[in-house]
This record gives sequence, structure tokens and C-alpha cells, in this order.
Amino acid sequence: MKITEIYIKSFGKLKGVKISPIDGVNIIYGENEAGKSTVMEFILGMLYGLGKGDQRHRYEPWDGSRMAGILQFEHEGTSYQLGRQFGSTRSADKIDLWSTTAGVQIPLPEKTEPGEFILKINKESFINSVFIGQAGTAIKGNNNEILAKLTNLAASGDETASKSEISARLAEAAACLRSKRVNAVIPSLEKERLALLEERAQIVSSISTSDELREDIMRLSHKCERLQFEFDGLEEQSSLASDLKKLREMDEVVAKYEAVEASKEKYEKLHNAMFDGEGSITDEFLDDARAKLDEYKEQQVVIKMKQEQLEACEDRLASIDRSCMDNYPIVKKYAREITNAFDEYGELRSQRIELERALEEEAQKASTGIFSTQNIILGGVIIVALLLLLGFASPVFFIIGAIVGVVLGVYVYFQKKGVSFEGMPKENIEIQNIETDMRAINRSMRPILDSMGCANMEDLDRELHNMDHVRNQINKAAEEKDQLLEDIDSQRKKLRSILDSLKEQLAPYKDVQSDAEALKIISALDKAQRDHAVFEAQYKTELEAFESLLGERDIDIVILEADELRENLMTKKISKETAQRLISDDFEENLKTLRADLDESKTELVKKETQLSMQTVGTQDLNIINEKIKLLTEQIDHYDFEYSAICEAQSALDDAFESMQKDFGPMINFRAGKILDELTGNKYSSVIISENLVPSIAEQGGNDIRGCQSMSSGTVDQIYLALRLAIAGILTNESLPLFLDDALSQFDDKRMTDALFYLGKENSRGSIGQVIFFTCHGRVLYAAKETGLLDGVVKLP
Amino acid sequence: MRILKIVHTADLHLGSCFTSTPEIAAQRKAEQLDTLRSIVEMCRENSSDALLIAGDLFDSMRVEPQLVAEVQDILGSCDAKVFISPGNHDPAAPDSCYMDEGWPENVHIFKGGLERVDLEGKKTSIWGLGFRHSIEVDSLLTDFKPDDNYINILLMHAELVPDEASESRYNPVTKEKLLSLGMDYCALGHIHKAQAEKVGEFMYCNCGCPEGRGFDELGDKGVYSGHVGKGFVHMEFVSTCNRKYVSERVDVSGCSVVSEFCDKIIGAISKSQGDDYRNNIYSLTLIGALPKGIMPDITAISKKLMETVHYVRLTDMTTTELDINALMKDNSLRGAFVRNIVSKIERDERGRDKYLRALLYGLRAFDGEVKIHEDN
Repeated sequence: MKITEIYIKSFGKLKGVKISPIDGVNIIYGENEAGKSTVMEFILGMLYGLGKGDQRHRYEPWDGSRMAGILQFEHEGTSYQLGRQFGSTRSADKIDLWSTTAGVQIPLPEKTEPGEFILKINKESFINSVFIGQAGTAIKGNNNEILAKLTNLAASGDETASKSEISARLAEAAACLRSKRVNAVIPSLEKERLALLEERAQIVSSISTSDELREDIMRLSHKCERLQFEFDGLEEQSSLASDLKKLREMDEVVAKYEAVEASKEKYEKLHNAMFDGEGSITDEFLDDARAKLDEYKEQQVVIKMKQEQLEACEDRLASIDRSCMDNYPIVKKYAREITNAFDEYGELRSQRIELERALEEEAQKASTGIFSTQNIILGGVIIVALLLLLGFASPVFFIIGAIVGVVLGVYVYFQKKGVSFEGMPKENIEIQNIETDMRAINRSMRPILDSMGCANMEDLDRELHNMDHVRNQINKAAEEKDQLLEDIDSQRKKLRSILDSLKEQLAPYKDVQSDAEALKIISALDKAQRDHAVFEAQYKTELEAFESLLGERDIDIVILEADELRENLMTKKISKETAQRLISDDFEENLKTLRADLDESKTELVKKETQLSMQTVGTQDLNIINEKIKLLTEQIDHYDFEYSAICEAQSALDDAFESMQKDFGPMINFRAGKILDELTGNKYSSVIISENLVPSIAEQGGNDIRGCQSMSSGTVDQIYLALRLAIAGILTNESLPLFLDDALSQFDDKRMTDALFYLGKENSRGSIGQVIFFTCHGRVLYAAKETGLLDGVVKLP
Repeated sequence: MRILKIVHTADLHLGSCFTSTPEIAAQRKAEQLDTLRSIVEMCRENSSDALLIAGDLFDSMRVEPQLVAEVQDILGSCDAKVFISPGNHDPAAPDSCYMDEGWPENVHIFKGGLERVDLEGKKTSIWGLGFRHSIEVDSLLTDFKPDDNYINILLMHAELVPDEASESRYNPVTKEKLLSLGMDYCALGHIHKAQAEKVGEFMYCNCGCPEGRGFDELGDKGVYSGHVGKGFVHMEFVSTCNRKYVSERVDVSGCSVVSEFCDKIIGAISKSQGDDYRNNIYSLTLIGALPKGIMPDITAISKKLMETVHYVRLTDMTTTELDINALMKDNSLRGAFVRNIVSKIERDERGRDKYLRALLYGLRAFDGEVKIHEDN
């Protein structure tokens, strides 16, 4: 790569700066703060973009304009113009890459920097190889890309066949087979197989449904067959049953008819006997006779009732106790004396009663006061009780209690007697006098009293009352008896009259000899008439029922048809049991149920058959699916094998590459040693680079290996410069420019001159590319002059 | 001595879709019917008394009416009495074509449980039963007593199992059970590979399919034909297939152009299959080492081959000619890669094929773009 023009439109403090480097060693001279580092950052930014955040904002122009510029360069025979306007973020950058050779714009892949795209190295590799900033020449970072590229080139010996390319080919082949790409072979086949597996599951389910339907259909078919067979059998018998029922009905009609005819004959006979011809009895006669009979019977009942009453009365009369009447003659004899005595005695008794009433009223008054007898007695009892209790403490109280108790007893006694302690009241005296008089009367009546067995006048009074009572009872009963006899007699007469009337009535019809006979005849006639009425009603009912049964039919035709049907049925030789079964209600019910069951089963069968016919998938579809799945599985297995082989190839390639990475050292060592030899004026020529590009050196002709930590910084810079130049020389097909930002500041003047001389020489030879050296040191200009590199000196404005 | 001449076949699977060879599916379907015709013709030539079809006459329950009509017509033309025992692929379900009207009078289909049909004038009983569902986990055989005065032949679709406890979804039966039935011959179907065994004067036979349908039914296919009598049975395999399915590996080492590949392939298969090789249907795996940079154009080779053979399907498992020793000495990344592969083979011989294939792909990647044949 050769940079042909740098145009900084606006970047940092630089605005409108144009530098046209030569194809050789360029020395960009500027004082401090002139913008040398800014130019380097610009170049780096144009090729690889700016960082994020502060790193990006660091170079924002002070005037607020957008960072922008153009970089023109040549690489691998093509001239490019790279224009870039930096935004606030990487995605806001506007990048235009043109091939000025072809005159076409080159589209950059997304998220790819122009440096990566054109130079085929990443930013880290670029920085660690050809971009020596002020941080120094030491190579830092992981350097994976550098290592990879170095190994690749060192190992393959073929710059067109880098390991990454080979890996990429294998990866591409693997991705064709298995990746997230839409058209990746294996996932497509697997997806297809999965769809078929799902479809198969559905088919299996559908087949299972079909199988169930078939099962149902078979079951229903058998059921329908069985039911149909049964039904056909029953139906055959059904017409037979119908005939039998018809016959039965006709027989019933005929039987009814015959019964009616018989009844009719009997009725007519009876009717005629009763109402027509000699000796027929009219309704009026019968009604009248019946009425008389009823009356007769009622009368009998009445007489019977009276007789019962008479009996009861006689019993009552007989049962009266007349013992007290034995003294009646005595009473009758001494009636006057008795009467006088009772008059006197009665008066005395009345007076006594009044006096006793007055006394009672007084006593009542006494008993209700506070000092009533009751309260006195109660108080006395309490006192006695207390004294007796205290007696347990001292005998004195016991004695006092006893005395009080005696006094109380006497009081109670006299109270009972009606004698008060104040003296006997005058009423009591009068009562005593009355009682004396009464006793006197008792004495005077003693002979009479004794003859009657009475103790006193009271007894005699009671005896006389008894006698009156008994006499009244006897009289009453006798009266009643007489009345009843009279009634009975009257009723009997009436009865007689009725009977005579009946006999009289029957005389034209029958010569009745006795009352009993008359009654019997009348009863019989009554019964006959009742029977006639009943029979008539019955006959009429039978006739109605028969006519209802017969309907519009002619009975003669019915009889004829019944006979014909019977004859027909007889030929079928049906057993009695069969006939009974056929005409039973169960038979009809069974037939109906069977028909319904059969219809239902047929409907269900049709439904299932329809459902089955609508099943669109079957075992054939399953067979096809299974075949397809099998084929796909074979294909997948085959491609999986191929894929695993490619993966194995990738793994082997990686292993091979890794093993070879360890072998790149000698080449780098050799190259770097050569360069160091020239830079150091043959002082150091043996360089040993570690896996992570850390150098160690040995002095010319010496065996001691020394690491960089034991070197001066200038020597270290020389070593790293040599390493960087060696790496840069390997990294790309065409040498990249070498950018140095005062990187050789640690060199002394001689080393500086030697370094510049080396750079110029190697550039001339073409072993290193364009050199762009930024410096603020005048001695560099001097060194440039010494080495004949003044053509490339540019002073920054 | 009474002898019955019979032809025993099964598993024709008429109506199959031939998904593995879609290009010739229609033709294969027609050829299946031709096979059936040839079996019927065999019956006529042999003056057979009975044609026994032990199940899976059709590939599925639902058959195109046209196909049913064809089969009915073909079987109707058979001079022998035809007995069909429906199998698991074509059970005698309510919607099966076996329930249709239109089956010729000389065809008897066992649509349910064990049934005896006597052949008039032959004193022979054909005992048959049929699948009613696509799965019959319990044995369909019920107890029965054959008449020892008759020639007794059992016809059914069944799976032979080692013992009573073994499970099967296809009317399981043991050999001991077959022996105990008192039959003179048991005509079985279900297994597509012919197998027969004679035990004394009793023979049972799974006749296999008379025409292959895919690369899992390789080789010659046919029927069993012969005689059965009381105390005598002689049945032989007779080939009936129109075409054989053949699977072979063909070494095409050194070939580079299509014609060379074809010549080599034709040479190999004509040698292995004889004069009839053109009729067969092939699945060939190409093996061997090809010159560097040569990858067989499978499509072109297949197309060219099918000008000669009926059908071919190729799988490329060729490798590139390699001087492994020379490559191993290469100090470049290529050499390191080869050495790595070889060491893996040495460590894991079982993965040899995979590592060799990896070697091939890796070396192709060194040389340029790696192509994958999607038509393999």
C-alpha cells in the first residue's frame, strides 16, 4: 500500500491540510502541538474508524464542524479514494470508497472497516505491525491475527492457501449441510421429517378413530341383524296376533249378544208375567202395597219400642224398696201426734240454728284479730319450744316450759269447747235450753219412736221422708205403665187396620188366609218388582254396552266373520300358550320396543358409516408417510455422516495449524535478526521471538540469551522495530506503509541515522514499503539529510 | 392317493405407493398386477386346485375402486378356487373392499373367525380366518377339530413368535401351536422373506412376497407351489417377480468421466446379477479412489445408467487417489493435516470411514471449493 494523498478537511485542530507523501521515506516535521499525532490518528481513523466516546470526541473540531477527510492510496495495483465523514458514533460515519482505477464505488460489507477490507488485516495487527505510535515500538495485545497469519504463511508456503481460507471452505461446506441458513440441507430434511412425523401422528390418530368407528359399525351391524331377525319373527306373528285379537273381540261381541238376548227373554218373560195377562200387577198396586207394607213395618217397630219401655217401667216398679213402708200403719195410726211433735221440734231446731250462726260469727271475728285464738296458740307453742330447748342448758327452763305448755293446753281445750275464759256467752245458754226442750220432746215420743225403730225425732223425720219418697216412686211408675199399655193398644189397632187393608187389597188376586201370608205375599211382590226394576236396568245397560261394542256392524255378519276367522286360525295350529302370548299387551309392547330399538340402531349405523366414509386418511397414507420418513432418515444419516466428516476435517486442520504455529518462530527469528543486525550495526543479530512475540536476543557470536528487560530502551526500540519490520514484511502481499510517530526518540543520533538509512535502503530495495515518519526533532531532519532522504521531508503548516 | 395342487402366495400389497422410487412408481404399480396375473397363469398351467392368498393382498383398506375391479377380474379368471385371508394391511373391516359386492364366485374371502370351506370333490377343507382390524394382539385361532379324513389346510396371516408369552400385534402363533392343529399344511403370510419348515409330513410356510417393493425387500421374490396330501406335502419356491431390488457397492476406482463410471458399474452388476440385470432396480454405493479433483457427477451417471438398467439410485462414497505417505512427509499445513488424520485413524479404527472422508474433504478444501452432492 502507498498513501498518495492525505486531505484533512476537518479533524482535531487541523483544517484543510493536504499532504502528498512520496513513495519512499516521508518525514513529516512539525513542532509540538502542530498536529503530527493528529495526522496519524486521522490516517488510522480513516482506515479503521475512531473509537467510542471520548476517543471519538477527542478529535472533534473546535469550530464544531464534522470530522471529515479523504485518503488516497494505492494497493495491489488499484488506486483508491477513501472519503469519510465521522459521526457521533461509528454507525453515523459516512464512508465512500472508490476505485479510481475502475471508476466505481466499492461497497463495504456491513460493519467492516476499509482497512480490514482492503488490507486484509485488522486494526490491532495494523497497529502492532506498521503503526508505531508514541506508545513505543513494543508489541502489545493478544496479536491473534498476527500469529495466525504468520503461522499460516510460514506453514503453508503458499500465500494463496491460507489456513483461514481452507477453514472457510470447510466451514462453508459444513454450513451448507448444517447451519441456521434457510437452505441448509440437514435442517431442511429434519424439518421435512418432523412435519411428516407430525402428519403421521395425526394419521395414526385418525386411523385409530377409523378403527373405533369400524368397531362400532361391526357391533351395530350385528345388532341390527339380530334385531331385524327378531323383529321379522315378531312381525310375522303380529298379523296372527291381530287376527286373534280380532277374533277375541268378535267373540266378546257375540257373547255379549247372546247374554243380551238371554236377558231380554228373561226380562220379557218377567215383564209379561208381572204386567200383562191374568193376575198382572200394576205399578200403582205395587206402590200402594209397598207403602202399606212399609207402614206396617214402621208400626211394628213402634209397638216393639213401646213394649220395651213397658218392660223397663215394670222392672223399675218391681225394683222399688218398700221396706220402709212397713211402719206406715204406725204412722197412719199416730199421725196427729207425730205431726204435733214435729211442729214443735221443728221450731226448736230453727231457733238453735240461728243461735249457732250468731256464735259462729263472733268466733270468726275473734280468730282474725292479732290476739286471735290462732295467734295465741301459735305464740304459745313457740314459747314452749324455746323453753324446752333452753331446758338442755338449765332444768329451770324445762320446768317453766312444761307449765306454759299445760296452760296452753287448757286454753285450747276451752276454745274447742266454745267456752271462753271470760265466761260462756248467752247464746250458748239459750242453745242449751233449746236442746233441753228437744230432749223432752224425744222423751215424750219415745214409745212411737221405739215402735218404729227410731232413736229420736231426727230419725223419725228421716223415716217419714223415706216413706214419702217411696210412695211417690210407686205412683209415678204405675202411671207410666198405664200410659204405655194404652199406647201399645192403640198401635196394635193401627197395625191391624193396615193389615186388613192389605188383605183387602190382595183379595182380588189371592185368597189370603192369614196375616202372615198376606205379608209374605206383599213382600214377595215387592221383591219381584224390585228385581224386575233391577233386571230391567241391567238389561238396558247390557244392551247399551252390546250396541256400543257392535257399533255399526251387523251382528249376523260379525258371527259369520268370527266363524270364518276361527276356522282360518284353527288351520295354523297355534297352541293355547302362544295364543295367549300373542294377544297379551306385552307382545305389542315388545314389538314396539323392538321396532324402536331397530330404528335407533339403524340410524346409529348409518351415522357411523357416514363418519367413516368421511375419514380422509387411512393406512395407505400411513404407509406412504412411513416410506417417506424412512427415506428422509436415510438421507439425513448420510448427510450427518458427511457433516461429521467435514467437522472432523476442520478439527484436524485446526490441530495441524496449532502444531505448526509453534514452528513459525525460526522464520521470524531469522528475519528480525537480520534487520536487527543492520539496525545495530552487527551488534545483535540473533533474535528469539516467543509465542506471544516477546523478543530475546543474543550478541553477535555470543551464546547468552538476554530478554528485553535487561536492555536499554533504545536497544529495545531497535529490537521491536526489527520485529515489527519483520512481521510487516510477512503480513501482507504488498508492503504496508510504516508509520512512526516520533518512535525513535529513544535512539541516539547514530542509531537514528542508522535506522533511517536502513529504512531508506530497504525501501529502495522494495523490502519495506512507504515510510511516513512524524517528528518534531531537528536531528531527524539532520539524519535525513545525512542519508539522502530529504525528498520526503514535509513541514506541517 | 388324494393330492391337492395349490399355489400359496401373500403380501402382494397391491396399491403400494413406491415412495422410495417415485420415478417409476406408476410402472411398479402396474407390474404388481402383472405379477398377480402371472400367479393366476401359474395356477392355470399347473392345473392347481386352489390359490391361497395369506393376507395383505392390498396395501391398505381403502383401495381405488379401479384397482379392486382389476383384481376381481384377474382372480375371477383363475381356474382354481381362490381363498383370501385378509391381513393387517387389508383387514375385513366394514369399509374394506372385501365387503363390496362384485367378488367373483370362485373367490372366497374369510371375513371373520375361523371358517371351514370344503373343496367339492376334493375331500379337502380349507380352514381360514381373517384380520378384522389392523392390529390383532390376540391369536385369532379358536379351538377346532379337523376331520382326519380330509386334507386340512390352514390359511391365515400371522406372525410366528417363539413362545406363548411373546407379544405381537399380528395374530401371534407359535410353531408348536401350528404343529398341534392337525393340519397337513399351514399357509401363512406377513413376513416378506420366504421361510418354510417341514416337520415330518407337516409343513408350514411363510411364502414371502411375490414382488419386492423397496430396497428392504432385496433379491428374488416368488410364491410357493406344490402338492398337499394326507401324509404328504411338497411345496417349492417359484420366482414370480418382474424385477429384483438390488443393493451393491461398486468400486469405481480410477474412473474420471461418466462413461467410465457407467462401464464399471454395468460390468459389476451384470456380473453379479446375470443376464437379467437390466430389469432390476438398483441402489448402488460407489466406492474407491478417484483421481485428484474428480468428483463423480451422480446425476449424469444415474441418467446414463438408466439408459441400460431399469432404475438406479447412486450414493457417492468415493475418495480421492492419495499418496498418503507422500502427503504425510509434506512439511506444510497440508502435511500436518494428513498426519493428524492418519493418527486419528490409528487411534480409532472404527471411525476409519469417517476420518477417510474427512481427509477427502480437507484435501479438497486445500485445493478449492468443497462441494456437497445433494443428490446422494
